[in-house]
Amino acid sequence: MPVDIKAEAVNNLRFIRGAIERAERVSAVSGLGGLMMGFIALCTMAVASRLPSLAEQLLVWIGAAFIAASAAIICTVFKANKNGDRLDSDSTRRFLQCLLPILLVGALMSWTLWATPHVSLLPAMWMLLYGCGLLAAGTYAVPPVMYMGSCFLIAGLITYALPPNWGNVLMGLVFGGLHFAFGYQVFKHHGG
Amino acid sequence: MAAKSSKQQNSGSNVHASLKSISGFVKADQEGDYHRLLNDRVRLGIVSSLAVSNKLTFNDLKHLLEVTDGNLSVHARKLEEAGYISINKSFDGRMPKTEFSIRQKGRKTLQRYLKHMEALIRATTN
Repeated sequence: MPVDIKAEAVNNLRFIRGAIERAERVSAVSGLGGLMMGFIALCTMAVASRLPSLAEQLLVWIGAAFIAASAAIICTVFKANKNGDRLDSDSTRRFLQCLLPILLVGALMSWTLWATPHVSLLPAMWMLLYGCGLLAAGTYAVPPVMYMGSCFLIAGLITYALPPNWGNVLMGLVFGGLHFAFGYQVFKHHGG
Repeated sequence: MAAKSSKQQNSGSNVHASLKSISGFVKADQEGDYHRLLNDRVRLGIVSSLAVSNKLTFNDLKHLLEVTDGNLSVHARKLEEAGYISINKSFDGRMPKTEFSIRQKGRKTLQRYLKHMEALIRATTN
């Protein structure tokens, strides 16, 4: 049977491209960063539960989000340096291009809803938007990121259906539990 | 009809000339057997993955290429013997850890292989 040289060469190039894209995904996310984000979320739940109003609790959560994001960035830089990987790779750029706009929308919506009676919707909205961001960004990251995004979407829908006074506990369990579980997966199977 | 036949002959001779130059390109390669080594998908996958990640662990590569432990070990050893990659074995606490990295020779060979594939496509497209 004659071999189609062109098709064979195109297939080989496609295979190389796929292998390169998959390999670049490995360095994009830090498992240790995920574990730290989970720990910060559980601590935040404990601190926020002492506060009387939902608005005050959510304010603590906003502060915690900045601390957790900083921890994740530091861990990612640390992991990249340790493994000798580039942080300016196409995969990292695409990962951020998918995640950051959705986080920006989340911040804008939080600002808009803050002074309205719908402020209790924020925990569900945060989970849903973060889930969408992770699901999109997960295309350029290791598989657990995409699975975590799906879990956040499901958790967001459940939170939306439950009474508002569950908000703090659900935030702690979902952000803490999912970051812990998937952070551990990345840490164990994808190089730290 | 005659013009069409002449055109086909010209096109055929062009492809033949292009493929001949590629054949010379392969023969001119000092390593000689690079195309044989990289013709295997697992070995090609190992070298391609390592070209963008300076270091990958055994488990990383195993998951990336979806191969068994034994298969990966055999192909990695062949690439190491050819001087394309280096394999570093150490301990992470009590756990044995195997890390792969690409060597200059492996990187150059992959670049050469890519150029070869591109040349093949160009030759058969014209």
